[in-house]
Amino acid sequence: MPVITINGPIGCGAVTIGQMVAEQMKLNFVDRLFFTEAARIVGTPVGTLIAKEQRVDRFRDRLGRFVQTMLERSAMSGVSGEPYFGRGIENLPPETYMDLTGEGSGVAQKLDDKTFIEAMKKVANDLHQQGNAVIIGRGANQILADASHTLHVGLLAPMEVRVQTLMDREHFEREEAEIHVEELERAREDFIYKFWKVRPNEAWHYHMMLNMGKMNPKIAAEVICHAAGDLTS
Amino acid sequence: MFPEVTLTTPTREDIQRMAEWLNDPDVNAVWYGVGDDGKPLHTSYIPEAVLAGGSDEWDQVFDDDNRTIFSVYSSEREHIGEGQLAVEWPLLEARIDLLIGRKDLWHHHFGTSALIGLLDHAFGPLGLHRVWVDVPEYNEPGMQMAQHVGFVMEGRLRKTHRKNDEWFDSTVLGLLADEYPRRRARLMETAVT
Repeated sequence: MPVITINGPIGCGAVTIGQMVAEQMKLNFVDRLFFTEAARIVGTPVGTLIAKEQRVDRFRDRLGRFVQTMLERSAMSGVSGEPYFGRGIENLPPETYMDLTGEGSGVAQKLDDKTFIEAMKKVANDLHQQGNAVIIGRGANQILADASHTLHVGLLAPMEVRVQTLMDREHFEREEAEIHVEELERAREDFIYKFWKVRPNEAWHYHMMLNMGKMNPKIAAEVICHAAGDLTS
Repeated sequence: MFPEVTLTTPTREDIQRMAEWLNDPDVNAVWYGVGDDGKPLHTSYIPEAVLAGGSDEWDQVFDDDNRTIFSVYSSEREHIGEGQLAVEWPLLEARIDLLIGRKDLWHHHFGTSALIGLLDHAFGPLGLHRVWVDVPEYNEPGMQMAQHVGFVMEGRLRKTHRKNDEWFDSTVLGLLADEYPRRRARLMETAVT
């Protein structure tokens, strides 16, 4: 009843490799379905959970929220004046300033962390109990860190490989793909660190790490299947 | 270019045609097969039962906030199939079921056009966040169509789909509201060229 978790930065091929492994070993394949199941448990749209993982707090977004909040407060208090930086700013409570530093209440904060992580744990543990699954990312390797019959695989890939993957898959322009890769990797690192206080690209969280700049997905899938074979014996 | 289709409220004549299509072995073979009683299976209602029932039964099926059922019409105003959106409002998501009943129109992109229409409705007027489809392994054209439109494979579950006493793998593919505009635009670009 093997369970295999595969983790890596966006564009490193985790989904492709995961599908190949699942196909070869006749296992269930669980990618975004992990979040949709967690969303069902919590009873909230899946976007709320995805926002937790992929939250990218750009300065302009924070500034946008700041300005919007200020205008709302200004409108509520009946204060008129200059629309962007007029009267009313002095009345803003401190949390509005925290928004500006990325610590405040963004979209991803609408679901409290405890509820979120409990739902994630339930999905991971249910999948582990059922067995026979390949799980892509979502901190599953941390939740199931010490679980039996479970193989944790980490992937790495050079920036160029990841950017090219995104250009091919999402039809992004190069610059757009580079921004996307950088921002989502930062969000992934923040997400893992926030909930498990570890860095996702450190090797000791995995049974093995594969460099996708040095091998193709087919070979990587074969290596994983071979390693997972030990779990079934 | 994709063929033009229209999504409309079903009429009794449409449901009569649905019953005929579903009784065609070629059609129910790519759909849900037949039940233990040998009758074709369909999602959410049994055409013959609805036709035999009164207006209450009709309204129960076709005036349901949690399920929107459309008849699919071609530009020649011919009824060619049916699309359904089964909505889960707390999650702001819906499962799509789509059947092109006219066999002579299979593989001519009428399904793709109808799917785009359903997605436009789901992400537009209904304001949903996620739409998903569950495609059994024996429906390869359905799988290709969903991926062509831009659905993302979210998971593949083994032996979850039962048809005619046999179990099949099925693939769940999803599309989020913020993914759709880019993929729709891309799809339309490729359709023009």
